Amino acid sequence: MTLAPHQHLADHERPPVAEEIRGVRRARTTPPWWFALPALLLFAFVVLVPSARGVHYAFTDWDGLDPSFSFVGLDNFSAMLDDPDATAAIWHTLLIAVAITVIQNGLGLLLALGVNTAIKSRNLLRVFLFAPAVITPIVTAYLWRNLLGPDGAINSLLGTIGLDGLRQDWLGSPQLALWSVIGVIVWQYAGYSMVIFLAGLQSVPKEIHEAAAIDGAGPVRRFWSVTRPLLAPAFTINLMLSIIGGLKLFDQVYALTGGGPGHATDTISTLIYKDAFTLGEFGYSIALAVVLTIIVAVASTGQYLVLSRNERAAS
Amino acid sequence: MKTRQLQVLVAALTTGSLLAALSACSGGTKAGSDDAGGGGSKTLTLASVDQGSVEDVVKAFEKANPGVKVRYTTSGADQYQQQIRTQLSSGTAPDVMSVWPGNGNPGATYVLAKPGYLRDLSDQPWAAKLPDVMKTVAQYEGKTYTGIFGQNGIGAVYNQQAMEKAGLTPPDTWTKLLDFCRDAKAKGTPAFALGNQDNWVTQLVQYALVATTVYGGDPDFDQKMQAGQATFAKSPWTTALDKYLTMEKTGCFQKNPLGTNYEASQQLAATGKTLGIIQGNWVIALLEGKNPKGTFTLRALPATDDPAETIIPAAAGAGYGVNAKAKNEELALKFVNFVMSPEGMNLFVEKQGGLPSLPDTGFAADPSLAELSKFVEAERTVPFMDQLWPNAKVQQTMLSGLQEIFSGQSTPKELLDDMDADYKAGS
Amino acid sequence: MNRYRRRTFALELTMIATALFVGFPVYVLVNLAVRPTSDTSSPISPTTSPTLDNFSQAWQQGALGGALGNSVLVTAVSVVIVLAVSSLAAYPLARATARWSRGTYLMFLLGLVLPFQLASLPLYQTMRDLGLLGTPWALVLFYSGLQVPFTVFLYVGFLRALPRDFEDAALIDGCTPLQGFRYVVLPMLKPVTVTALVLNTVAVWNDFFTPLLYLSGSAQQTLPVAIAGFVGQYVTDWNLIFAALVISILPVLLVYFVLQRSIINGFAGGLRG
Repeated sequence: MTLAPHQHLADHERPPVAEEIRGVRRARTTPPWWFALPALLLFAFVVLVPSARGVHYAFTDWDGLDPSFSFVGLDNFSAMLDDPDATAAIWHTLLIAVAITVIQNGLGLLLALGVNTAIKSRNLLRVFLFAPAVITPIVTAYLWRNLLGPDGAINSLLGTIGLDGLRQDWLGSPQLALWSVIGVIVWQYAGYSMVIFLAGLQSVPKEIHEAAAIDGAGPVRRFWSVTRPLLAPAFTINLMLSIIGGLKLFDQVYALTGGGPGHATDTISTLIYKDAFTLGEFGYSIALAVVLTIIVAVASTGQYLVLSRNERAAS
Repeated sequence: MKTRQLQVLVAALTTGSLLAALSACSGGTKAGSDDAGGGGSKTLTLASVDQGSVEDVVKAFEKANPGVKVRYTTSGADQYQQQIRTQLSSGTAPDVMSVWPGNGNPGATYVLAKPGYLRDLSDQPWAAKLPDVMKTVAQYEGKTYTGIFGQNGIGAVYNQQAMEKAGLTPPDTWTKLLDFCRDAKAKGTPAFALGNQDNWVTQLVQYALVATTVYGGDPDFDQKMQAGQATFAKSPWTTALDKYLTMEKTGCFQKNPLGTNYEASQQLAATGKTLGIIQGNWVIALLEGKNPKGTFTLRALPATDDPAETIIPAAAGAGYGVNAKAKNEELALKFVNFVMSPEGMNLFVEKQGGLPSLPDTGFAADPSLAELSKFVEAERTVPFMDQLWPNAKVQQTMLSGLQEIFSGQSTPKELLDDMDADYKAGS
Repeated sequence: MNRYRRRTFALELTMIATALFVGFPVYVLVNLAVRPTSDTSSPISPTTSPTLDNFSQAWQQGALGGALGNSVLVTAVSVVIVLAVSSLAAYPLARATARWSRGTYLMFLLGLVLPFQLASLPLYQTMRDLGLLGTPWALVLFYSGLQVPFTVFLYVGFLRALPRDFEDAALIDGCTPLQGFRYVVLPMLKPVTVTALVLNTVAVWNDFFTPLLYLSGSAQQTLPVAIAGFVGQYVTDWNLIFAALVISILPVLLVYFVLQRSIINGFAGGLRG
C-alpha cells in the first residue's frame, strides 16, 4: 500500500487528478473523506463511545444494581481461569463458530447457485429459502424444541422411513445437543448466506458469463474460472459475518437449550447473560465480554488477512 | 435540474439522521407524560411478569379509578429481570413492578430492598395481616416491601380420565408411589410427565420430596443453614435426591425427560399419555386449555410411608413492589392496595389458578386445589427452598446440576457439595 | 439467461424439494397458528378444525395494529438512514488508499467485533440523559448507529470488486464526486443495496430487548414486544404467538419478494439508470 503524495485530507477540494497510464488518459480521483462522516458520527455515538465507557465495569465487583461498588483490579479475569463453566463455554463457542462458518456458507453457496439459474420458480424459492432467517429466534427455538423432542417430528420421520436406529434424544443428550444447536442455526441462516452470495452473483456481469459459454466452457469450469473470482467479496463478507456471528451467538442457544443440559451448550454470550442478569455478577460478565471481544478480534483479523490476500490474488 | 435535486436529496438523507436525533431531542424530553388524554398525575407505569392475568387487573383498576391510565409492559421472567435491573440502576424504573418473594432471585425482595430501590409498604393496611410464612418473604429487615397476592403449591397433578382408564388411584405413601409407578408403566402409560429440558422444571420434584424428608423432621432447617450448623450434603437433602433418582429408575417418568420441554410435558399429561405431572398448580389451567374435557386435580406427593408426615411446598408467588423513587407514588400505592384488596387479589388468583395470600377474601378455591387449601389451612406447607437462600447462584447450580445428574455428567454428592460451597459464599 | 432445458427442469425439482425441506418448520408454524389450543394432535398433521380466531385475538389482545405501525416507522426510517450513510461512507473507504481511510475502515470493523453487552448500559443512560427514552426516535438513533458497521462492511466489500472505469469516466464528464456516486456508483450497487436493505430490515424488525427497554413506560411498543406480551413465566399461549408471528413476518418477506423481482436483470439493468 503506497501513499500517493496528493492523497491527504484536503483531497476533496482539488479537481479530479488525471493520470497518464500507458498512454491512455484516465481520471483517478478519491471520493472526499467527509462522505464517511455521518456514518462515523452515528457509529461513534451508539457503539464506540458507550463501549469505551462500559469497559471499566470489568474491573469492578458491581452486581448491576447496588449503587456502591469497588474496583477489584484484574480479579474478574483471574477468577475466569478457575471457572470451569467459562473454559467450557469458550470451547463450545469456538466449535460452533467454526462449524457454522463451514456448513452454513457451503450450503448457502449451493442454494445461491441453484436459484441464480433459469428455473421458473426462482423468485419464490429465494423467498422460501430466506424465510427461516426472518423468524425471531424465540419462535424458531420453540419449533425446533418440539421437532427435535423424543417423540417429535424428526424422530417420527426417521421411524417412518425405517431408520429407527437413528432416532436420538437430540437436545437431551449432552453429546448431541451442541450439534443440534448448530443444525438449527445452519437451517436458519443458510438462506441468509444465500442472499449475500446471490448479491455477488447478480453483480457478475452477464456478458462475462455469456462470453465464457460461447468459448465452450462447461458449468463447472465456468464457475471456477469466471464466477468464483468474482464472488470473492461475497465470500469475504459471508465468512467474516459467520465467524463473528458464531462467536457472539446468543439468542438461538439461549432460547433452544438455555445452555443445557447442564452446561453442555453454554457459549460465552449465554454465560455473559446469566452472570449479569441471573446471578447479579455484572462486573464478571463484562470481563467475560472483554475476553469475547479479544477472541472475536483475533479470529476475525486472522480470517480477514487470509481472505483479503485471496481476494487480491483472485482479482 | 434533475442532477441538483438529487444532490440535495442525498445530502438531506445523509444529514437526516442527525436532524432526526436533534428534533427528537427537543421534542421528547418528558417520556410518558406527553399523551393527549391525561396529565402526568393520572398515569401510572407498571412492569409485570403476570402475563395473562395482569391485563384484567389493570382494567378493573382503571375502571375503579376513572381517568387513570396504566401503562404497562409484560415479559417473561428472564427479560423482566434484565429490564428491571437496568432501569433501577439507571433511575428509570416504572412506579410499580413485579417483585419476587424472599431472596435468591435477581428480582427478589431482599435483592431490590437492600440497595434501597423499594418503598417501605409497612404502613399499608394489608401489611400486618399477611400470615407469618408470607411475612418472612415479603419483608426485609422487619419492613414489608412486597405486596404478595397469591400462593402456589407443588404436587402431583393427576389426569382423572387417564387414572380411571388405568384403574389406579393417587398414592399417599412412598411405597405406594413406587408401586403406582410400576403399575402405570406396566399398563403402557408412565405415571408422570417430566419436562426437564427447561431447567427450572428440574427442581419441582426435588422440592416436593425435600418438603417432607427435610422439613418434616426439622422445621428449623433454614435457620440452621443460615447459622452454618447444617449443610445440604449432610442433611436429608441427600435422601430426597436419592428418592428423585429412584423414581427415575423405577420408571415413574416418561422416557428422555431431558429432551422433553415444559410444553411437551403438558401435552403428555393433558392427553393422557402419562397419568399426571409433578408441577405447580399453575399448570392446571394450561392442561385444561389443552384438554377442555379433562379433569385435573393436585395432590401431595408422598415421600415417606406415613401419610401424616407429608408436607407440600407452597409459597408466595411474585407480588408487586413500589419504586422508592416512583414518579406517581400516590397512584402506585393505590394500585398495590388494589392488588391486595379482596377484589384485586381474587381476580389475580382466579386467573392464575392459585390461592390468595390473605385468609379472609371470600375466595372459593377451585375443587382441583382442595387438597392444597387443606394443607395450607393446616399449616403443613413450607416455602420453596430457594426463597430463603442467600444468593441466586445456589439455585442455578442446583438447576444445571440436576440436568447433569440426569445426563450422567455429575453425581448427587458433587451437586450438594457445590450447592454448599455456593451457599457459604454468601450474598 | 440460458435456455430452459431438461437439466434445468431437474434442477428446478431439486431446488423445490430443498425448499420444502427448509420450509417444513414454517409449515408447522402456520399449521399451529390456524388451530385452536385444544387441538393437541401432532403439529405435523394438518389441523382438522382450521380457524382464524388466533389471528383476530392476537391482533386485538396484543394491540398489534399500533405495534405494527411503530415497527414500520422505526424500521423504515432506520434502514433508510443506515443505507444512506453507509453506502456514502463505503465509497471513499473502498476507493481511497490513504492511511486515514484504512484506519476508519478498521474502526468500523471493530464495531462488528464488539459484543453489545459492553455498550448496552452506558448507551441506555445516555439516551436517558438526552430525554429520548419512551420515544421511537431513541430506537431510530440506536439502530442507525448499530447497523452501520455491518452495512459499511457489506458495501465496501462489493465496491472494491467493482471496476473503477465507470466512475472515472463520469468524472471526466464533469460530475462532482457526489453526482458520480449517485448516478454511477449507486446503480451498480443495486444488488448489494437490496441485500443490505433486507438484512437490516430483518435485524431491526425482530429486535426485542431494546424496544422493551427503551419504550417501556410509554404507550408505544413494537411488534416483538407486543408478541412477547403473550409469553409469561409459567404460562405461554403459543398458538397466539404463532398467529402474531405470521402477521409479523409477512411484511418482511413481501418486501424481499418484491425487491428480488426488481433486480432480476441485476447488474446490466442497473447501469441503464
